[in-house]
Amino acid sequence: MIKYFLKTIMTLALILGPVSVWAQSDDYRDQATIDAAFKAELVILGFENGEYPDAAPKFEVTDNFIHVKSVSALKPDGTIAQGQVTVDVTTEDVVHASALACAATINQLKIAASGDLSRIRKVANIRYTTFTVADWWDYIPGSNSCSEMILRVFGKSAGAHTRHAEGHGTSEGNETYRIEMLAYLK
Amino acid sequence: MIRKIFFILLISLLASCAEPEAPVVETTIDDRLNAELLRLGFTDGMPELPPVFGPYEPSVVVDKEIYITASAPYTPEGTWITGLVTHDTPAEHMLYAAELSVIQALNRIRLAAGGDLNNIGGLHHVVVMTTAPEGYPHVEMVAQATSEMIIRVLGPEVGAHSRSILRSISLPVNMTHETEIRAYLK
Repeated sequence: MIKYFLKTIMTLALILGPVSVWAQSDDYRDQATIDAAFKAELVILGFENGEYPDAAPKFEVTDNFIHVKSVSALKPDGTIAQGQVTVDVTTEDVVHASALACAATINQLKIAASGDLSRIRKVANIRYTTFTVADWWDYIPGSNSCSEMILRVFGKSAGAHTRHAEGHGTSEGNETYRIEMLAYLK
Repeated sequence: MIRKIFFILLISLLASCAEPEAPVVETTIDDRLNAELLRLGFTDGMPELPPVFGPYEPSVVVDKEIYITASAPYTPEGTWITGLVTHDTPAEHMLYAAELSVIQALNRIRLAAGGDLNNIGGLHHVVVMTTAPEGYPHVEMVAQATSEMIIRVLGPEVGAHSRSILRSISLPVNMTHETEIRAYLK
């Protein structure tokens, strides 16, 4: 019994060891890996078949530099996350809106990269904008929601980024959350 | 002949009355940075970077471009300056917060540049982020002080920059002020 237990542990260590090292190493992911990771995020967010709906381009490409303009938090039902934090929505809603806006931003990168996210060399900077009141400043969970998704999808080499979060007391279309991103193509 | 001698004597007299030129003292970026650090109470030179609040980087370098995360005021005592700016906030308090956030931003840029600000080729843009309410009278002065401090440290050539002021209703972790600098390497 003990022998069997030790054997199982050693087998697991042999299998998981290299996976763990791979996960921590600085490497760029291939298209299939990134697509699978993005699809998994879309499934969790409720997008049918893990596919993002058609979207109009909201970016500018100059040489290999991509500037994704302010992107909204589109829900799977086609509406946009709305409401002012603490008045209409909670910090948890902000976390969800951030994930939705993040998926929309990754989709923009995909369009900019001609459908191949493995062509993204680096996410350099993310700007998070929240529609809020002055006495709320719990921005970190919302920002982390997208920062973590970027790392899950692109890995550390392409996904490690700088960021900035700000809040505004008014919002066009009453939108809760928007994301802007600076990235580079390979 | 007498007139000529008189003229030469007059010129000599005028020349001897002229104020001697002050010797030009060459200062380095490090000298100027240390002077600013001492003035703000950092007696041990540039402080260590405080940990970030999530899965993001203090700085990212792509080719020669340097991106930094928006930098908040970190005191020599190791605390953050927090709290919204109100109409009652003295200008000196906001100025101190702004200058400390410049130190944080320069520290991030320095580390991105291999630990040496002499490797900086120039600046693209500076964003002064304030929580000051509309009508607060000292925002322009603080933005000006931010620009002047950056130029004092980096010099007029490397430190020259464009600038914008961003008014945020609040900032993450209730920070009072933040500064963001976009720079590039030599």
